[in-house]
Amino acid sequence: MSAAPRPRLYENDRVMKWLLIGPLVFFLLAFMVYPTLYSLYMSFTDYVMKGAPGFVGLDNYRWVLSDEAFWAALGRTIYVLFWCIAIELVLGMALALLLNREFPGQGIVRGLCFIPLLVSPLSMSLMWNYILHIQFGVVNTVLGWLGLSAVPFLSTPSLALNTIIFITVWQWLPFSIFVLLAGLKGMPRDQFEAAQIDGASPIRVFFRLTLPLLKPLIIIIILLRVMWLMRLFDPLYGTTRGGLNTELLDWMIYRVSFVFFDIGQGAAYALFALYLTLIVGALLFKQLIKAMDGR
Amino acid sequence: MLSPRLKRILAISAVAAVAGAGQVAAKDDFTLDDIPEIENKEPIHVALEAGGAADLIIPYLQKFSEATGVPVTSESMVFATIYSKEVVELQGRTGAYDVVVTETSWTNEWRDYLYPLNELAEKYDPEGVAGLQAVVDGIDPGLLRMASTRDGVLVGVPYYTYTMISIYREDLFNDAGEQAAFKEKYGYDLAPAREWQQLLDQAAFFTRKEGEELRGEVLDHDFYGVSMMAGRFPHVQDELAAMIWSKGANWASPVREDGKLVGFEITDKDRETLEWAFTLYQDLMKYAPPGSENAFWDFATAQFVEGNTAIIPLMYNGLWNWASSVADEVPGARAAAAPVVGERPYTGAFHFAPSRDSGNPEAAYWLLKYIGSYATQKEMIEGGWAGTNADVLGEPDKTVETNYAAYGWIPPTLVQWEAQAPDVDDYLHFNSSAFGKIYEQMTIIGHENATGATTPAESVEAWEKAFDRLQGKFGELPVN
Amino acid sequence: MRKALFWLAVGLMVFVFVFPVLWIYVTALKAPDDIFSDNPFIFTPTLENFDYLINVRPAFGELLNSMIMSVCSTIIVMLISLPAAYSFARFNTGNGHILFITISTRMFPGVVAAIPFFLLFRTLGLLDTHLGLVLLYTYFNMSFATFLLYGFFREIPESLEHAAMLDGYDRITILRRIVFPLIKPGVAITTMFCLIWSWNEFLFAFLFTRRVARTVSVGQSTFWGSVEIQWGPMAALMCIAVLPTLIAAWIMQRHVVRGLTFGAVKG
Repeated sequence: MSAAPRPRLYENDRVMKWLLIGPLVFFLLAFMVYPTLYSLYMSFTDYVMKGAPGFVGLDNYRWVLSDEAFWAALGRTIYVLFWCIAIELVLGMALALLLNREFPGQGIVRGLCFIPLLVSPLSMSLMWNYILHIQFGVVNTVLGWLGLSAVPFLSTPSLALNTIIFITVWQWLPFSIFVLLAGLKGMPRDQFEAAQIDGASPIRVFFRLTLPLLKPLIIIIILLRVMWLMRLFDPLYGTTRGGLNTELLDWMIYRVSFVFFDIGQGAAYALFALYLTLIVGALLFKQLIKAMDGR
Repeated sequence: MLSPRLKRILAISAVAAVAGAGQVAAKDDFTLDDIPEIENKEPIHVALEAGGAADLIIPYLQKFSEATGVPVTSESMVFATIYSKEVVELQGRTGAYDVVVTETSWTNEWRDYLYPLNELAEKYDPEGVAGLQAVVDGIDPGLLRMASTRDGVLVGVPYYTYTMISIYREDLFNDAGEQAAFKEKYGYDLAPAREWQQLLDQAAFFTRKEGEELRGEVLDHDFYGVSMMAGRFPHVQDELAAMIWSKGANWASPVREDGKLVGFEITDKDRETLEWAFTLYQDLMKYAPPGSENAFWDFATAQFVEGNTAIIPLMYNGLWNWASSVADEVPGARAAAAPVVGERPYTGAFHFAPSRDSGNPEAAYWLLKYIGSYATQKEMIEGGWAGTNADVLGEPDKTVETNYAAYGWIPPTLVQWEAQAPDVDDYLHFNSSAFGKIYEQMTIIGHENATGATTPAESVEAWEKAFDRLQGKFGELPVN
Repeated sequence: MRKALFWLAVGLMVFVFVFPVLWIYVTALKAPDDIFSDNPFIFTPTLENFDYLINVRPAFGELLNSMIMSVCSTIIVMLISLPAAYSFARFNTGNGHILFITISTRMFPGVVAAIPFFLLFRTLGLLDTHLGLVLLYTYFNMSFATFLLYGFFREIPESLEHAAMLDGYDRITILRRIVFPLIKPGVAITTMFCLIWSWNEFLFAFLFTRRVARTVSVGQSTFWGSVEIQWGPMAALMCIAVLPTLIAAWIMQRHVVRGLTFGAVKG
C-alpha cells in the first residue's frame, strides 16, 4: 500500500477506538483473569479438590520437568503439530486453488467440503474407531476385497499416532481450504490481470503474486492451528484414549486435572504448555504483523 | 448335552440357592405401597450411566415418582467421563445429584459425600434399620461389602453388577474331533479351563489360519483362541485382577493391626504374582485377534459373536446376552458361560448412593430401597438385567435351559460370588480411598504391558511407583 | 483431459470428506445385529434407531438447547468482535498487545480452566443454565472471531476508506456502504465457525449442564455405557445433529460466494 497520509479523522478517534474494543476487553477481564490466577496459584499447591490447598513451592514444576511421560507427550504433540500443519497448508492450498474457479455445482462441492467441520469431533472419534477397525471397519473390509491386507490403523503403536493425524487433518483441512479460498477470492484482480498480460506462467504468478498476498492468511492459519493442536484432545477420546503411543499433551493434562483431580499438578502442566504456546504464538504473531504491514 | 463342568455349576448354584433361602427366612416383600407418605416433595435428580442399561431403569424411576408424588429426573452420562463429572459435582458440593451412581470401587473415595444408609433408615423408615436390612439381605454379601466403606458402613444399594465370567464356544469344546486332537496334543481333556496354563493351551490350540480346519470345516478366515481387552480402556486391569486374585495375591495387600486396616503393602508374593500375571497377559495376546491392542468389551465380544474367537476368558456378565447370540451369527455355534479360571474374577456393581448435599434424602432413601427390593430386582432380572439380588438369581428357574440369553451368566456368577466372598475384604479396590485414581493408572500400566511397550518386570516397577505416589497423594492410609 | 483431471480431483476430495459422515448415516440405518458383520454393505435398512430417538430417548430438548446456545453466543460474539476487530485493524489499538492477549486466551488448556470456571459458576448460580454456556461460548469463540475478522478487515485497503472520507461520506455510511459489503465473506465464515464450534463443544457442555441446559453434543455421548455402546441410536443422533450445522454452513456458503464476487476490489 502506498504511504497515503493518514486523514485527520483517524488521528482523533482515540475515544472511538477504545469504545469499539470495550466489550471485548470487558469480557476478557471477566473471564480470563480468574481462571488464570486460580491456576497460577494452584500450581504452587498440592490441591486435589479436597481439603485446603497446601503450599508446595516449585514442586509441581519440578515434577513436570522430570516427568518422562510429559516430555514424551510434548514430543508427540509437536510431531502431530508439524505434520498436521504441513499437510493442511500444502493440501489446503492445492485444493483452494482447485476450487478457485467457476464450475457447475461449485456451491454443492463447497458445501460438501464443509462436512468434516460440522460433525462433533468427540462422537466422531468413536465412529472412527468403528470405521477404521481392523476387523469390522468398512475401510479394512474394502481393502480386503481389493486383495490388500488389513491395516491396523488404531491398534499398533507405529501407526496409531499417524491415524490420529489423519483424523485431525480430515476434520480441519476444510478450515485451511476455506480461509485460503476466501483469500484467493478477495485478491485485487488488477495485479493478476497485469501479470497475465505480461505472459507470466501460472507457477510464477503463484509464487510471485499469490503466495506473498496470502502470506498473512497463511500465518494466521499456522498461528491458529498451533494453538488448537497444542490442545488436541477430541480424536483420542473414542479411539486410543492415549494408548498405543498416542498420549498428547492435552490428553495428559486432561487426565491429571480431570481424572486424578490433581489440580496443582495439572495447573503446572497447563501453565508450562501455555508458556510454550505463548512463546511460539508471540513469534508467529510478530511475523504476522510484519507480513501485514509489509503490504 | 451339558458339559460336565456346567452340570457342576448348576448343581452348586442350586445348593447355593437353597442355602441362601435358608439364611433369609422371608424374602423382603417390600413394594411401592409400603413407602409411607414422603413429606419432602422436592424433586430428586438421579445420575445414571449411559447405554441401554439406563433405559431399563428409567421406567422404575417413573413408577416410583408416580407412587410417591416426588418428581424424579435422571441424567445418563457417558461411561468414559462419568467419574469426572460426579467427582466435580460431589466435591464441588453442588447437590445436583440426589442419588449418584457409584462404581463400587469409588465407595471409599466418595464416602464423605454420601449418607450412611443406616442413618437415613433410622430417620425416615418406620421399620428403622431392620427395614433396610430386610431389603439388602437379599443382595449378594460381597457386593454389599463393595458398596460399603472399609469400616463397613453401607452407603449405597447395588442394583447392577458386572462380574466377569468366562464365555466359550461350547460347540467347539464338545466337538469330538477337536476333543481328540486336543487330548493328543496336550494329554488332557478339552474342557473349560481351571488353570491358567490350560487356558493358554486352549488359546494356542484354537488359533488357526485361514484354510485350516475348525470343527471339521475349512476356515475362510483366521481364527483366534481368545478375545482380550488390551486397549487403554478401564478393562485391561480387570482382566489382570482376575489373574492376580486367583493366586490369592493382591495388587497391594492390606496391612492390619488388631483387625483394623492401617495401611497397604505390596508384598513379595504380590510382586511375584503381578509379574506372572503381566507375563500371562502378554502370552495370551499372542492368541488374540488383531486389533486386541486397542480393544474393549465391544470389539472383544464382537470378535466372539462373529465367530473369530473361541473363548472370551474374562468378560463382564452384562455382555453374555450379546455373546450368546453367536448362535444366530455362526451356524452350529453355541456359547456357554463358565466361572473364570480361579473363580476370583473382577467383580463390581453400580450402586445408587444418596448424596449428602441432596435436598431430599428422604425420597432418595426410598428410591434406593425400592430399586434394591426383591420384587423390583426380580422384575428387572427377568427382563434381562444383571441384577444384584442373590435370592432372585438363585431361583431354580434362572438357568440356561429356561432362558439361555437372559440367564446364562447367572450360574457361574453365583459360583464365583460364593468363592470370592471371603477375599473381597482384602481387595485394594474396596479399601483405598484413592482408588478412582489408582484404577486409571492401572489401565495405563496394564495396557502398556499388554501391547509390549513395557516388559512384565517394568510393569511391576511402574505399578509400585504409581501406587506409592497415588496412594500417598490421594489416599489416607500409608503404603508400608 | 484437464477437465477430467479436475473432476477426478474434486470427486476424490469430496469422497474423502463425505464418506465417513455418510457412513454414520449408513450405521444409523442398521439394526444392532448388523453393526458388526463381515460385509458392512449388506443389511436391511431399519428406522428403529430414529424411532428410539423419538419415542424412547427423545433428543428434541437437547437439539433446542444447542440451537439456543450456539445462536445466542454467536450473535453476542459478532457484536463484540466486529467492532473490536475493526478497531484493531484500523487504529492498531493497543499496539497489537491487546489483540495478542485476546488470541492467547485460547492457548490455555480448557480442562484446566474448567474447574475454576465451575467453582465460579456454582457461586453465581450459572450451572446448568443456558446463560452460563452462552457466556462461556462467547468467551471461547470471541478470540477466534476477533482474530479472523481482524485479518479480513486488514485485507480491505485503507485507501478505500480514505477516498470515501475525502468524498465527504461520514463514518457510519462508510462502514455500511463500503466496509461491510467487503467484510461480508469474513462475517459469513466467522459466524459459521462460531455456530459450529458452540454446537459441537463437548467438555464444558458436559461439565456445566445436567438436564435443563444439556446440549446435543453431550447427548451424542450418552450412548456409550459400561457394557453397551448403542451404535445405531448414537449414529442416528449424530445424523440429526449434523443437519442444523449443515444448513447453517449451506446458507453461509452462499453468502460467502455472493460476498466474494462483490469483493473483487479494484484498488
